[in-house]
Amino acid sequence: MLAVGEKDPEAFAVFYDRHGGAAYSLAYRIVGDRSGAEDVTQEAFLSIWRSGARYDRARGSVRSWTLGIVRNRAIDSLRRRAGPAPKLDFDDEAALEQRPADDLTDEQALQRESARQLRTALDELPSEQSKVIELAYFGGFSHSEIAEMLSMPLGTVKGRMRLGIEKIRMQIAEGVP
Amino acid sequence: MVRGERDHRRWRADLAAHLLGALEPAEAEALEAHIESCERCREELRWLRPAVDVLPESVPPLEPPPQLRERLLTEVRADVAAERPAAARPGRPASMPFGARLRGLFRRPVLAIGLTVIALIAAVAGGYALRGGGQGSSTFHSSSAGPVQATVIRKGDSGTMELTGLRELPSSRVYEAWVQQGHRLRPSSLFDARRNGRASAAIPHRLSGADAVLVTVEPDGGSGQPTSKPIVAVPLSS
Repeated sequence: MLAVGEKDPEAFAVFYDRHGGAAYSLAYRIVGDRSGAEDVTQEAFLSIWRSGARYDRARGSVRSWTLGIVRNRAIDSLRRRAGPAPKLDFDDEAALEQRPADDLTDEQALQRESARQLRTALDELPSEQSKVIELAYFGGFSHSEIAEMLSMPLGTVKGRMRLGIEKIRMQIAEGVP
Repeated sequence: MVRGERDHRRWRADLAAHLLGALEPAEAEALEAHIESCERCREELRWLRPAVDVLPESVPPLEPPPQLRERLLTEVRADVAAERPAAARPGRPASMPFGARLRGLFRRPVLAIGLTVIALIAAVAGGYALRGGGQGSSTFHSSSAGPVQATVIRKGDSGTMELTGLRELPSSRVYEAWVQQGHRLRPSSLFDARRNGRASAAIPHRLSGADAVLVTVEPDGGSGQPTSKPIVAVPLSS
């Protein structure tokens, strides 16, 4: 990461190889199309490169920091489009199943299994909790927008977010996935 | 209940929403100001953060298109080349105008011969271009039978180039693409070969009216003018 900040193209290539797949996948999950996901991923990585990679260790791992930037860019892209609301429940698994199995490397297969386990952990949340979390994180909606959308008090939305996030945290602490 | 505890409970309810990016900007700012002075909130934030950090990992992995990597690397190498002082580039004075550099190029016999051959190829290769590759795009192939083959897909003023048969270069060297129009050569993107001898490169500008795209091997960081004979040429005649 230090070398990326020092404008070393080879270090940047390694950095992209490590996190580009997760970044593209996240961007696709948020914006819902491959062309938009490419644009978002490119913008995010170039902003990291051109900003001198101001990574703050206190904000978590390099990967989390990077994916946070990608998420913000993707949400900005959604808002710029000002089109229909993002799909909230499109079937990622079904989209993935359409790819031939031999497209997946071993590493991707492991990532996919890990993603599946995490997805299961999220699916085990009560739907009212997972819904507000997905609307906020993948949809980019504020808690007041979500409250209006779901016709529920603001306090209830905050409470469900809190409960859902605490449950995921406990599952992580227990080693799931 | 003491006031500090009430304050903490009030703000604590917002921590998850804050991590999810769901607070309004003014609310987020107020919460961050509170967190500065509240160790308990800081601790809770640290505890909860991994639960939000794993959310992107729950997304099924997709393979990004290889062109995305190539485009990014082209951009970052162009940034490095632009930031490098011109005087540091080998083979030419910093203030030498482009036309003089081009004339200098043609004073070098090997390069002059190579470029003349390429210009001839470009001139006679009409009809070699194939139409196709999608709406509004044209596909052109390299005309020589050498080990390195290239295909340029042009759309408007920009395009992409796919190459095969390349050798891996030492870290001190890089492949550089050039756009030729008449006797004028303009530097384009820098790129490396993959282990399988393939490479992709973006040609982001100036393909409208161009005669050919050439590739040379240059010092790392690229050159303002070719310093070696082209290894492949793709005539853009249609």
